[in-house]
Parts: sequence; C-alpha cells; structure tokens
Amino acid sequence: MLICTSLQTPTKQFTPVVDAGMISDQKILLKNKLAIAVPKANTKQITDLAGMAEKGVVLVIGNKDVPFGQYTRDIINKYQNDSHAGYVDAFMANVKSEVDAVDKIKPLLVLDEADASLVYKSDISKSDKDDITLIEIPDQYNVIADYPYGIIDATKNKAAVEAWEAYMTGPAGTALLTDYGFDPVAATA
Amino acid sequence: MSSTDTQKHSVTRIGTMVMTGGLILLFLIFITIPLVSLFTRVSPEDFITALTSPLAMDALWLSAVTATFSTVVVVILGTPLAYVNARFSYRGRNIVDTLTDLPIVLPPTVAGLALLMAFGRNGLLGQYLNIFDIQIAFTTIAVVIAQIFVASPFYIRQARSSFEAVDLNFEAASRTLGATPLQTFFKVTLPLAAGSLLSGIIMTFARALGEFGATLMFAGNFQGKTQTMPLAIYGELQSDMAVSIALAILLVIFSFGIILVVKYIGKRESVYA
Amino acid sequence: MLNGTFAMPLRDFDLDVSDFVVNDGETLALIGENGAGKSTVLRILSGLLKPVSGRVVLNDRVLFDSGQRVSLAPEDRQIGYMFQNYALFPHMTVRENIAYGLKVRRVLGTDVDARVGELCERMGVAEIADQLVTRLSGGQRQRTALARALAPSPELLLLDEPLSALDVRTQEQMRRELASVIRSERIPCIIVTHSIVDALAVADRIAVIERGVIVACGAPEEIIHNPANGFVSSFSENLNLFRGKVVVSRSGVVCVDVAGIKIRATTTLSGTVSVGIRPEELILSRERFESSAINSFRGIIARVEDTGLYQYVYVDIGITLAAAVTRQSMERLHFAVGDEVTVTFKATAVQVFV
Repeated sequence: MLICTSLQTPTKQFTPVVDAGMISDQKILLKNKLAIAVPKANTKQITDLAGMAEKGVVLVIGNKDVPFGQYTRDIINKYQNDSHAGYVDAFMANVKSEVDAVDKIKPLLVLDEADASLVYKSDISKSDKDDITLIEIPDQYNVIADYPYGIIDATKNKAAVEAWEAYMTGPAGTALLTDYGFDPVAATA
Repeated sequence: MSSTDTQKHSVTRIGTMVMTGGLILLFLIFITIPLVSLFTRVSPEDFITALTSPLAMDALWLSAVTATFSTVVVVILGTPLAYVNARFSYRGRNIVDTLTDLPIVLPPTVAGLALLMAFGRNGLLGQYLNIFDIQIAFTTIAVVIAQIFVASPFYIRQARSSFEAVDLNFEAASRTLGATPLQTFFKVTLPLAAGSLLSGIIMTFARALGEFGATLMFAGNFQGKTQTMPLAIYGELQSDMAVSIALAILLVIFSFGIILVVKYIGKRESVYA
Repeated sequence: MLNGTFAMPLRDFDLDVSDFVVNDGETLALIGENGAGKSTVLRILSGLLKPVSGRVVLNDRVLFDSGQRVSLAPEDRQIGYMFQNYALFPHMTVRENIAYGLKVRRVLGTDVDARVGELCERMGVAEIADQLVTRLSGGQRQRTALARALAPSPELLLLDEPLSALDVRTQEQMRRELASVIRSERIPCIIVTHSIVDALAVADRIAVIERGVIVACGAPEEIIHNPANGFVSSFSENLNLFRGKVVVSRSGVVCVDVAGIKIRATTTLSGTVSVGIRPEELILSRERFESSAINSFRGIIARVEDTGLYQYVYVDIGITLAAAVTRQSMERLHFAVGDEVTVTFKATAVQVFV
C-alpha cells in the first residue's frame, strides 16, 4: 500500500505517518512550485517578478490564510531582500483582490481582466494553457513544496506497489507528472 | 350525532392538534438550532473584540453604505418601470418582465462573470470606458453594481403588484379632480402603495446586503474597498473564526430585525384594504 | 351647455351617440340596463376614455374633436365626476378629500380652507370633517364625494349610480338631498342610473340608452309611460309611476295630487314625491262598487296590450293607469277599448317615494 498525500501542505500530513514507524523509507515523488500566470495576450508584457510591480498592473492573488497566498508573500519578500527595495509595497499596491482559491483567479486571467497572479504551476491545466501562460520564477525566490511518499512496511502486495513506483519514477510517469505542472524528482535525478 | 361520534371527533381533533403542533415544533427547531449555535461559539468579550477589529468595522461600514446606495438606485430606476408595467400593456411587456426577473435565475457567480464581461476593462461597454481610464471592476462601484443587478428583481416584482393593487378608480378620480398623472402618482398611488412598496424595499436591501458570489467575481475581495460583510465572513473562516462568527451573528440579528419590520408594516397596510 | 357626439366600438355592440345635449341648470338622467353603455358615456365625457370619432363641446370649449385631433386630458376638462363607489381617497380625511381638487390646482391655502368649510357646512359633513373616510357611513360618503366633486367649481357634473351603494332608507333620504344640491348648482348634470325612481326624483329630462344608442329622450312622464321603451316597461311596476305633490286636507286625509287627480295614500312624506301603483293592484269593474278600497276613479279604456300572462289595460282617468287583468277575466267581462270602467285600488297599494 502506498500513501500519497494531498497537494496542500504535504509534509505536515506525512510526518506523523513516519513518526508512527509505518514507513521507514521516505522518498520525494515530486515538487510543486509557484509560477507567474498571465493572460495569453499579456498586454502588460510581464516576463518576470519585476514586471508585476510596474504601475498600472492589475494583480489578483491568494489571501494570507491559504497556502498559495502565504507562499506569494514569501516570494515577494525574498525578492525584495535581494536588493529590490520597495518591491513589496509596489507589488501590493497593484493587488486588486485577494481570494481563497485559484478557481476565482483563472476566469479573470482568461477574460484578461487581471494582468497577473502567482499560482501553483499545477493549478494551470493543459486546457488552461490556451488562455493562460506560465512564467517560471527563479528557484532562489520561489517556494518549493516537497511531495513525499513511502511504501508502508506492512504492505502485503509489495510487488505491485514497487511496480507502480517504478512506473511513476520512470519516463512515462515523469512525463505525466510534468504534463500536469509538477516537477518530478526523478526527472532531475 | 351520537355521543360516540362526538367522542371520536374530539379524539381526532386532539390528534390533529398534536400532530400539527409537533410538525411546527420540528421545523422551528430545525431553523433555530443553526442560528443558536452561532451564538454559543463566541463569548461576549470575544464578540465585541471581533466586531471592533478594523476588518469587521470596514466590512460593516462598506456593507451598510453599498446596500443603502444600491437600494436607493433600485427604487429610483425600478419604480417607473414597475408602474408602467402595472398600468399599461404594450407589445413586448412580457419580454421586459422576463428580463427584469432574470437576475434571480442566474447563479450569483454567473451574474458576476456577466458583469465582468460587460463592464470589465475588456468588457462590451467597459472597453470604451477604459479609454478614458475609467475602471469599474475591483472598485466599490462594482460592489454597488453587483448588488443592484441581483437585488433589483425583488423590488420590481413587489412594486408592480403593489401598484396593481391600487384601484384604478382612485387614479381616475384624481384626474377628474384636476391632477396631472404625475400629481396623481405622488399624491394618491404612492401613498396607497407605500406599505407594500416598503416591504419590497426591505427585501431588496436584505438581498443586497447578503450578496456574495457576484461581488466576489466582479468587485473582488479587498478590505475597505470591496470586502463586504458576507465576503469578510467567508474570508475570515480560515484565519480568525471569532470575527467570522461575530459578523455572521450580526447579519442574523439584522435580518431577523428586517423581517419583523416587514411584518409590522404589513399589518399597517391593511388599513387601506 | 354640453353638446356631445361620439362613437366607439364596445365589446358586444357599437356605442353611437349624436347630439347629446344637456343645458345649464338641467339634470339629465341616463337610464338603461347594465351594459347598455351608460357608464361608458360618462367616461367619454370626462376624458377617461377616448372615442374613435366625435366632437364634445362644453360651454364653447372643445373637449374632444377627432377631426381636429383635439383631446383634452381629464384634468383639463373642469368636469366633476362622482364614481359609483365614490372612490374617496382612503388615506385622507373628509376635509382632505374635498380639498384635493383645489390643492392640485395650487389654490391658495386660505381660499382652500374657506371653500372646503363652506362645502362641509352645505353638505352636512362639517362634524366629521377630520375623520378618515374609511370610518364613514354610506350616506356620509356620498355627501363627501359630492362635495369633493363640486369643490373645484366644475362646469359639468357627472354622477354614476350615486345612490346604488346605499341601503334603501338612506337612498330615500339622499335622493332628496341630491336633487336639491344639484338644483342649486347652475351647471348641466348627468346622472347615470338603472333605477327609474331615482331618475324621476332628480331629472328634468330622461334619456334611455339601449345597446349603445339613445332610443328615447324627453320629459320624465313621456318616457315612463311610453310602452315602446323596452327598458322602462320591462318592469311592470314602472308602468304606473308618477310625480305628484302630497296634499293633506284639514281633516287629516292624505292624498297625492298627480296632475289634478287626488290619489289617496298612506304616507308620512311631504312635498314633491313619486308614486307608484303596481298594475296587479288595480281592479277594473263596469260599475262603481262599495269596498274597503278608498281609491275609485271612472275612466275610459284607451288601449289594451297582451303580453301573454297578463293583459295590460290602459285606463285614462285624467292620467293613464295600467291595470293587469287575466285574459279569462277580460273575456268574462267583455272589456273593450272605449268602454267606461271604474278603477279601484287601496290606499295601501300606493307606494310613495321621495
């Protein structure tokens, strides 16, 4: 049996299982990061974090109570601390709305009513890519979430589980995960 | 009727009363338990602290101001329409009626999207306003527009039936006495319809106050500018539940008060029956 | 003076009225069945309804002219209208109702008060002037409605069934009051009613309307006793309706003098009244006879009309009385036109109205 955890706060939920001694070998399956999402048209021509703080840019971000909103704030602080004084204020001045989930941000980008947002890469699906473009953020500023997994020691069907593991970490599985916006660990290995 | 028949009837009568009473009680309990449980989760001190927080104050003020403004606009724009539809039949009246009812049928989020597509910077109308640097989306004006859009059917429907209920003979008498149609409206029709109109106004206000989905989509969520009470309640659920519950309690008290007022006015209205 | 010609299609027939004339100080009663078009005429004259064609002139003012495309709105016509159920404004007091027509014309406050006060006195509502109209009795409402219509000094007065909403007792009382109030205004007045008794009491002329057309117009006596008027004669009790004056002799005997014929009646009313005797109450005989019935008159049979159930024998005793006689009796007694007969009926059979 395999435990895969949800994509919210992966480590928080996973640690107790390890602590209970049910899993001895903890591995990382994939990482998820945030990226800049802009409308296809990208009329404000945003290509990086700096562009998001330009005057007249309309930003919609996650609120401070949800993870991707917290990470957004982490990211802009990291950026400011790298000799970009005043960035956070300029950025926040452009924020017109703070929402609890990305499903309220996507329509705004699709309709080009907002210029940019910071969202999980995985939140932008393949079909969204027709209307929304993702721009990578340098890892030094980004918040990277690890998604751990492990095989439960007491599993009865070890062969099947290991076959699944081989699939997920192999070329097919890696391609699949990339497709959905994740950064599979096996790909970089 | 024999005495056994009479006895049987009394038993049935008592049985009916008990069952009716039971059903009523069941329903009342069902409604009050969720409301009461709101009150039990928060101590009075926490309640006051929560209510006086900047976020709560901002939300309260914004809600009160926008809902009032929206209601006023709905009354001004909706009254002529309701009166004309009540008094005159013209080609296309049914279409107009359906149009004014439409916002009720639309899910609020869809309404918000529609407003965005109309008045957003890329919207049908919004794109022209954008040229003059006029932005509507994500502003307090957008909050008002969203409220007007979803709440107007309540007033217009009620106003129309209020005017229909005013006997035409009163208006005819007024005209023969020398009053113009406008004078007739303000001196005769309006006073006679007032009680009924007022309950429509109050329902509209309550709907505007509780508006959420369209506001979130079209006006966004920004403290002090667009975060109304419903948005604040939802937003604080995950961080400061005390504030969320406090605002919810306030909304409940307010709505309860509104409905009582409507009932009171309804009683007064029967004077003109 | 009012002169009106108008036509418009109604649901079951076309309304077609030509040269409808009412003079100053004259009261015309417009009678007819329900649905004959009576109220429609009033609505057209007042401007509440627009006819398809026609011309209405009131005192040299053109109110409506389809040819010239003139159509004055009701508020510009200076016409007083009393509606069938009075349409008193329920949210206002008696005083406020009466003052309404003056207030909307922006008459000065003091002038308004004076005129309203005068009317309240005249119509006998001064004591209840500050009550809400919803509290009033039928008679009080009627007086208030009349006062309200008269307050702006209209040039024409229209009344739609002014008495039908009242109970019988009040009707009698109001009939007189109405007649006297209308007489004192010098304007033309049109009363729509389905009650001949009402018409008799107040009208100088009666017009009969049937299916949108005025079929007869003239003095009350002519109209009522003309059997050609279907509406009138369809009610047999209308066949013997007369106007007369109550005369009480020194010995206390009460009579109603109808064109010189003294009919004995039991009544406590006085002055000008209407009397009616149902044709079924009249007994015809070749010779006078002694009986407890005190009214006994000699006359000549002028006409006989067969309506199947009864024969109506019209006897001229100075005025023409219609007696209902069965065919068998007619045959048995060999009555014919030109015969001299005696008409007998009791004093209690004479109905006296105001």
